[in-house]
Amino acid sequence: MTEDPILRFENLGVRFGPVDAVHDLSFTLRRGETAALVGESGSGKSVAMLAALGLLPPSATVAGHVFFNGQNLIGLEREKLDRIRGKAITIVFQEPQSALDPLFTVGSQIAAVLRFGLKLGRRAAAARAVELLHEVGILEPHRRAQNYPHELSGGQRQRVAIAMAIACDPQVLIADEPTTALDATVAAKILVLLADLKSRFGMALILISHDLGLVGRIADHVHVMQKGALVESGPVAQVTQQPRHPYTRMLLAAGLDRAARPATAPAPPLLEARDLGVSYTLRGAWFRPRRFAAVDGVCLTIPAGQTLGLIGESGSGKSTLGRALVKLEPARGQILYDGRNLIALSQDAMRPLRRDLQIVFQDPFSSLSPRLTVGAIVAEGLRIHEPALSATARRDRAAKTLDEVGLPGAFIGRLPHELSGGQRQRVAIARAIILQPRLVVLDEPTSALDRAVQAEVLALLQKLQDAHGLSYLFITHDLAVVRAVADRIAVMQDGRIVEEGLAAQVLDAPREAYTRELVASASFEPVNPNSVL
Amino acid sequence: MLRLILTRLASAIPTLLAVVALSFLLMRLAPGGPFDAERALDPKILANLRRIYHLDLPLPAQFGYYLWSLLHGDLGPSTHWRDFSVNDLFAKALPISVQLGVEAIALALVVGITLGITGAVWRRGPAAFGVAALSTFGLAVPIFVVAPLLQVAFGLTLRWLPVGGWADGAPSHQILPVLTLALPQIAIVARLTQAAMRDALAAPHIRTLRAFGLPAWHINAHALRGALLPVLSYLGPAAAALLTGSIVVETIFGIPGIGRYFVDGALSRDYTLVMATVVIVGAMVVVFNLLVDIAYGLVDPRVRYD
Amino acid sequence: MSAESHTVWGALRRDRGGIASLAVLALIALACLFGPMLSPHPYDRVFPDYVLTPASLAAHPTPSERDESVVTLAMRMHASVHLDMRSDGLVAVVTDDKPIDIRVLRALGRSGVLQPVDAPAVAGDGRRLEQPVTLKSEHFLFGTDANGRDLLTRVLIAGRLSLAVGVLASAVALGIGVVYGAIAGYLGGRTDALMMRAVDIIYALPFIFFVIVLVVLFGRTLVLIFVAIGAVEWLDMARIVRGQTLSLKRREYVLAAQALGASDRAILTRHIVPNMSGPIIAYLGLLVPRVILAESFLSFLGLGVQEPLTSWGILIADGARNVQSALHLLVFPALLLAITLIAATQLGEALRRAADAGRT
Repeated sequence: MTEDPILRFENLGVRFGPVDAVHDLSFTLRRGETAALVGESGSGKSVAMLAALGLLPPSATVAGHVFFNGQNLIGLEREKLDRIRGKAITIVFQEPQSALDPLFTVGSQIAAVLRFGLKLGRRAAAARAVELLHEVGILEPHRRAQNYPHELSGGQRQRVAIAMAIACDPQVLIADEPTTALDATVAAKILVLLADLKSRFGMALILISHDLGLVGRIADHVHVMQKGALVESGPVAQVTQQPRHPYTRMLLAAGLDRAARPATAPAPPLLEARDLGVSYTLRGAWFRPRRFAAVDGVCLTIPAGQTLGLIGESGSGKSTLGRALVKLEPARGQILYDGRNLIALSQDAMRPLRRDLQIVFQDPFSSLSPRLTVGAIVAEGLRIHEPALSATARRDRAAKTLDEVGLPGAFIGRLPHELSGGQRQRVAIARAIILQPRLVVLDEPTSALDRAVQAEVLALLQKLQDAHGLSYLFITHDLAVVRAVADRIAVMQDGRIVEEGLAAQVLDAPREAYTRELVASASFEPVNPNSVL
Repeated sequence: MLRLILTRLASAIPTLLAVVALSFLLMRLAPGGPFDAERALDPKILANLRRIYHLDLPLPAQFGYYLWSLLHGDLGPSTHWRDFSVNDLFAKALPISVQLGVEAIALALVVGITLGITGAVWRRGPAAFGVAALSTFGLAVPIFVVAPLLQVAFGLTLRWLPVGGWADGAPSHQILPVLTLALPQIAIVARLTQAAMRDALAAPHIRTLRAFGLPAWHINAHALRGALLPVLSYLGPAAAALLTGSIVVETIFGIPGIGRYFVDGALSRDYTLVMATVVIVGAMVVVFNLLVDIAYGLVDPRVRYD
Repeated sequence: MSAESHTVWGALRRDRGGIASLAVLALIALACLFGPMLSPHPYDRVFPDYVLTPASLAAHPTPSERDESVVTLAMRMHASVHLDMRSDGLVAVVTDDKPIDIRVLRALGRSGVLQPVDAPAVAGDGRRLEQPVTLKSEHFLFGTDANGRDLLTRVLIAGRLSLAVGVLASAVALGIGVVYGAIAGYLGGRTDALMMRAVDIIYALPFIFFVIVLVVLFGRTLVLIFVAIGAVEWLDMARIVRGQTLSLKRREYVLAAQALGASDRAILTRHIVPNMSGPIIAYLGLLVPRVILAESFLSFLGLGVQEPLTSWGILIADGARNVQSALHLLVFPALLLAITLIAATQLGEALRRAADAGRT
């Protein structure tokens, strides 16, 4: 790394009308350096980069300077800017799905960049596009070049976007949340690819992310942004190990206890699934119905009074499994609870058992009926299972339960849209526990929440478990969360349970290759740029 | 691609059959017949007439007869114009209506798309204003008001163009009817193009092109290709709208097309003619939608694998 | 009032265009409802003296109309008639070369422009009759039609029918669409696929042809016209309701209610139907103008309602036939139709915006 600055932000400011999106942003990127720009969504980090490349809508007003090799990019006329962007400075966007034109083959989109950027001929550009696809680790690049974006997986699309970005041998590559839309194992590979390309092409890299742990693995310098302003800057080791600003500390730790829970004694089973299967008929099924097994031959035991963590990537069937266990999905096989097989029970026979088995969903915005008051939502279970209760008694119970989840009794008359995300999730928890259930399925209960709120909700769940002896099935894709809450962990892949065991054993000494990959992708070890793709 | 065509075809045929069956059933359910004249006919003559027109057979047999003759391209005799078969009438009328419709849609596409693109690229320019004004006008002033107003303006006051008649398709006789038919479609196509083009220009993949410093003409060409998809899928409904419009336009301007025969047939309870019109119009719309679907599949790769 | 309709209404109240459209529509509806009652001219009253009178603010008869009427009067009385302006008022002087039968004065009483007052005076061997009269004064703001009927009253009466058909046919479409769509969406699976395939088939057809066929086959009664229009306009409603039901059925709050053991009925009435009203109201706003237009279309072709009932379509057809001699016959009904269509569509758009705002 040299000390030679290639890109210098000086007092950059961006306003949308009255909204101050970026405020007085100054930092320097050196040749060959990897800088991470970190902050939560809305902190202005993407806006700052778009401003540098002149990509903001006309409604934005930009102040300050961004110097590239001494030339100010802000306010530069379009022809001069077009000689820099896409050639010397390129960008990879967050959503590879929408960043590529759906109507053109990926090969032709890369070739277009080469033809206009390097003035290559039609045939030379097409040939070079295939080479670039190979460079970014796409197998069978000749065939893939003829594919349309929708025919590729999310990871492959992001590789195509990266191929476009390195096509003209840039000096600076900006990657805007390049892995956020991807699964953890794919995200890790993309990160390795970026680190590898950076060292091979000798580029400087700006990595924009909300995940400080992730970027900490490949960045040299970290710049933390909050509400449009820079709050902390420094070498990666210093920022991640001795954070000065409370916001950085919040981003880093978010109050999660990183150590696994102390091992607990084995507990008797509360609910047991045997050879459970859920399958769907796919669309276009009019002539030839195609079946898709979302959950396939699953055997699972939920220990009484403990937490079973269920982890896996999106699409692995973990949410479907969680819903099937409380009979919200039609399933085959057996679910044994209280000496009975729930699968065989009719709706009416199932109803009295429902008060024991409750569920909390991921999205607190869609899990509360928008036209009912908080009181009505929380008390709904009482209307069904204790119909003899008077309206006042119901109200009292609802208020008591709200108090238990840490919400003031005044919330009883509020509507869901008047509440914040964390408050809504507390209401959803109150609705689930008012009937004093024995098992609560928690389907990614904290994934839609900000880090700080996440920690509070996890603490609340822990408190309720201790107070009422609740059993949890905790579904999540976030290994840091599962480490903090689970006694046992089950790993799911393609509808099957591939590994199950004590939390510490699964996370620290995984037996299955898939689990190892999952754990590695979420680790905080620095990435070795020379590692194989 | 072949699979797309086959599946679309497989769904078009039942649609067509349903149209024929539905119109047939409606006709037969209706009270009153074509020979309910003011003065009663001799029962023998009536019986003969009913036999000639197969009205004495049971319902399924009548339907079978009708379907059989349809497959042979025979639409049956007209009960109103006693000396003509429906085939004879349509042989003259259909080309006229189709010519009007094709000219109107061509005009609507050329003017509408041009106006829409201009309105999307210069958001506060005269074209954007024109699109807004035209949409409001097209929405509020129905075709049966536009037609007489055009007659007054160009036919009676300025005396530039004939007020009506067909004159074997003399160009001067086509201008007003085609303009009347096209006007509401111009409004819709322009608004559709403008909205789609604005969306396309704001799409993330267009931002990608700008981020890579590609020239403006290249970017606009990319945006236009995406923006034309909604216009393409509007062509199906547009065909239906033009056929509906042709009823009014042909009546007002006195043009011997199928729309006018349909209205005359409807007013005089000419069963075979009305039914044949519905079947022909239904078939035209179904076939046109089929073509549009296939064209859409050619333009948009995402559709092909559905 | 429940939460979402509260926010829809709240958002609409802040929408200036929506409120203005609502006010215009209310004004037109009130005018159509009460205007004909307040008008001095019943909609079917024929004024033979005022045929195809152009629209104006001036009082009738004008001097030339008065003289023309007196000529007609003289022909009807078989005598010569002239008006004489005296100091104590207007007098109609009837003279003839033979004695006049006093009963001819009845014709004077039936005149559209003169009103007899006091007793007639006979002079000159009964060959001269003097009848004190006053001049009637009429206003025809929109002019009169070819039969001499007041166009303003007729446009308002016609508006009653057009608006009524718009509302009633939309209600028919709403009823069929909601039931059909909710059943298809709630049952799902193969039933849903079959039901929606049928909708696709009908959707592909130019609907006005079917309305015409229905109207021709089953007669041109008022009820049939709005049933026929409603019967073909329910398709969009069914699609919207089905889509809403399908997506609401999978919402997590519905799953949560199922997890609590709520019955299907409770889920439908407490959690699904109340959350669907926003999009339905918004679509109704766009449906009503379409239906009004469809009715005018039918009436224009002579396939809608028949005399003595009238609608804007019939008046426009009448105007189109007389476009050369009397443009006002086309302009006024078309103008009222246009204003109604614009206002209703703007209101529909405002409702849609409000429903969208309520959802986020």
